[in-house]
Amino acid sequence: MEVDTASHATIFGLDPLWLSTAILILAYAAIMFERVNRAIVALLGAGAVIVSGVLDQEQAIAGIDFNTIALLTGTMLLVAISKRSGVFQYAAVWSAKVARGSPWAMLALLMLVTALASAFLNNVTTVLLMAPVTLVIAEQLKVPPYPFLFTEILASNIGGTATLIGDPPNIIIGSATGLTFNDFLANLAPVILIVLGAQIAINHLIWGRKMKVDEAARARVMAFKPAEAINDWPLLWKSLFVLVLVIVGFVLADPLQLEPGSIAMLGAALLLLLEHLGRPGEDQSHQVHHTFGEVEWITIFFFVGLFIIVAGVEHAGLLSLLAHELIKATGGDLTVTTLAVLWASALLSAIIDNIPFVATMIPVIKDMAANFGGPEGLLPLWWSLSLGACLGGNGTLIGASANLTVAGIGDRAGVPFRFVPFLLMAFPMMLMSVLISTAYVYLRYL
Amino acid sequence: MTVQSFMTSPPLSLRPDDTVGAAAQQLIENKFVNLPVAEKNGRYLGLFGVFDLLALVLPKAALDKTAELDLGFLKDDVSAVQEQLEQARFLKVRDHLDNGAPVLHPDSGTLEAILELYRARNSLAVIDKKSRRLVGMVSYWDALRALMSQR
Repeated sequence: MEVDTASHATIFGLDPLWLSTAILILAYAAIMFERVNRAIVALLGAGAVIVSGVLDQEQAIAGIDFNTIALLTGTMLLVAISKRSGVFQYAAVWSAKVARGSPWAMLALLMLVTALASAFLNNVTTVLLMAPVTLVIAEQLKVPPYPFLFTEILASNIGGTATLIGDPPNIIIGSATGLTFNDFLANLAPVILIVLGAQIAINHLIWGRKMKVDEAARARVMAFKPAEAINDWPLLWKSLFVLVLVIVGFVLADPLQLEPGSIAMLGAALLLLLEHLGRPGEDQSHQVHHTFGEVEWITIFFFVGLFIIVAGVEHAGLLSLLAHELIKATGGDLTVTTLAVLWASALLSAIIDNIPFVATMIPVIKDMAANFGGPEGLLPLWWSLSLGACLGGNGTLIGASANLTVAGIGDRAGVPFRFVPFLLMAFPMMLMSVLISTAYVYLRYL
Repeated sequence: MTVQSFMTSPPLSLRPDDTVGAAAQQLIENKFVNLPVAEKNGRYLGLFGVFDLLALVLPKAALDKTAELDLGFLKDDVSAVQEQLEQARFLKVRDHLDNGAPVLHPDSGTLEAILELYRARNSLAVIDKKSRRLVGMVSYWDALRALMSQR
């Protein structure tokens, strides 16, 4: 975006570069300290960008990436409806039964199921559905539930990295760059499989091989009836039908010339229709209202505000300046820049929210196109940004929303999650996953 | 008419150090849904009732309302549930009481009391506003009887 500081006046004639930077820093700080809900912070920041004159309303609205908003809302609606069928509970119970009550096999299978689900669903939703049933299974097996919840956190963040729709940073990157579902799958899924395999092996060594169960507990698990976990078979088939259609839509998005946001929203509308077809109008209104209520509006409004704040600093020229400085620091070397982006994203995402970080980094990286031979030359940087931002979330308890969600569920069930013990176990594992990613990015792209 | 006029006072109450087994016996013998828990000096701590007792045999994760968990996939094993209840007998009431239940005060009005009873679907403790001392209990039957007798 061209720097256009003279288009309209800022409040008190302040320099828009400083003004927008101050708003961004204040918003970052407020999001970090979590004293005020992040959606409120983002919306206040967006308001400040407009009121202070950094952007006018038209520019602010143009800064909102509606493809990302539609993709997020659409997938949230799809999950809100399909979860009512009990399909996720079924998957967890099925894993326990297939593992024949063996704790280490169950640990591995639950990690695989969680990673797979996270690749296609929001990570928070995945753990919200998997963690409670995991706790029940662990209680039946009379094994400590902490390792299961801990590994589900790791698996959800790892699995979410594999696809365009798995984690919000990927959604923003895909939307801003035009990289497709297939691009993400082809470039990130291979390394994610390696990372996941390594995590399963390590977690087996740490927890899995030590856990023992008696015959009575094993018999209890073998007596599980996974089919009973399904609450609504017709809804299950309808949900699977639409989810498959949506995934096919993502895969064929390029030839169909459709944006992922349109596909997700269309899928959500179709599933809403299939769920309510033939029901009285009043019932439909009640149920549709309930489904819409399950959309995570905090996340949606957080994105709306954030896009405007980032548009403000982009418009004022801060991000071009940052890109220029980054190129200077790395000497314009693609390898150094790529690895710097990967490691900085991972380490920062372990501490700060990866969504604003990625939203800020996208224009910075875009500005480097001229130095690396055009948009094609930026591909290693995009994959590094995604890997770093998504995997970095595993480093600390506050690194990703899924971590805090599981911690909350654990605490309520008497399985406390503490910051330092989590850090001591998770941070080295996160570093290992970033090391694997470094080798992968280096060997494949540099 | 205020709560003072139709509450049961002094109420039968539990001590925080009472065992769950002893509390269960009181609940069953008196057919109470719940009983107030108060310290020796009368300071009110919360309610302990049949639902708190039943919660002790359920998987903790299933009690989390946000989880919307269905336990249909578990094998129905009554002896395992009975064993769990047996183990729970020696737990202390203080660790399993409900301290989030609404409370009423002696000067609370009838409509206010009825609304709280309607929302809680349970008996509620009546405590002194200043000292937080337990002064009585009000059940939906008490409220209904009081209303009928006014006619």
